[in-house]
Amino acid sequence: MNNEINELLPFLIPLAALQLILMITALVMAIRQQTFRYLNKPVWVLIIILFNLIGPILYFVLERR
Amino acid sequence: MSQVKALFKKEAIESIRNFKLFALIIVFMIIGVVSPLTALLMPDILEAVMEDSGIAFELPPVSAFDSYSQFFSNANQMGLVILVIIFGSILTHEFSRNTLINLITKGLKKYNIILVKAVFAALAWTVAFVISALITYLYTIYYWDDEVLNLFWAFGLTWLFGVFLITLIMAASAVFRSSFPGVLITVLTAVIIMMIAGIHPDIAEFLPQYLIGSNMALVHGELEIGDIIPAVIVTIISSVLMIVLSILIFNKTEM
Repeated sequence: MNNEINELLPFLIPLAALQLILMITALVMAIRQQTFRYLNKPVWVLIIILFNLIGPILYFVLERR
Repeated sequence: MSQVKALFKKEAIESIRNFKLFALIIVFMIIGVVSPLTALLMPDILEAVMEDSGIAFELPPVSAFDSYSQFFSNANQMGLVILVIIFGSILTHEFSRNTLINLITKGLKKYNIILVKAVFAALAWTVAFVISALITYLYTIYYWDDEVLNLFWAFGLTWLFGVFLITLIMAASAVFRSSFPGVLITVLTAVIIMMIAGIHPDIAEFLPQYLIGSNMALVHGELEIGDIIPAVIVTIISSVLMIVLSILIFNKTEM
């Protein structure tokens, strides 16, 4: 099993990095934002953390027009 | 010309500031990485499922075809949906915030707005899609060395369909003005209508929908490039029509 994971590292590292970049940018922006069009700050932070990929995208599309 | 330049600059700065371009590119990079990964993991997943259900048969080894087929199913479904969601509001948000009135009363040509926005969205889509396709391609040639056919064309088909969707967004935005949901529903309806029309085999070959259905057939060599030319021509013509239509409608709308 260990060997298999090592084999997959060239995929998993970039994948995790990309998702982290997306999540962290959305998080930083959500935390700095003062007024929200929909929902509020804690809910957006939760959405961004819990739903990777979809959460940050939703945040960018709905809150950053 | 200076109008075009200024508008283009405005679009670029705007989409960088609101992180839409960034989000689009990251999502497509993720699609590019995930596709070969899923292809690589598929035998393990299937094996686990088969052990549970007690079915046993020999699985064919994973090949480059699996990797591309994963890529096309991801890009054609999730990728295009995200493209529409991100660029669906490119024109409607200007209406809802009334940001175009000042510019137009100062002499900005209305057709320039449509053209620049469409070209900008198409450009952003091209960049994101090329990066994604390149990532999948590089992983695939590193892990497998199968001979694949017409790969460039197969990628091009999905790209062309994306451009078609962008022109559809422009036309729908010109009609619905400030309603982003209206644009989403129009695009969805158009796609569903094309799917229903595609049931008839004689019509199917001429629909834009045919483009994203035949990527893998091209890669496998089951279809020749000549077979998809009618659909390509129809898609290009209807894209141009959509742009002309949106300019005509947009010219008539009062701000």
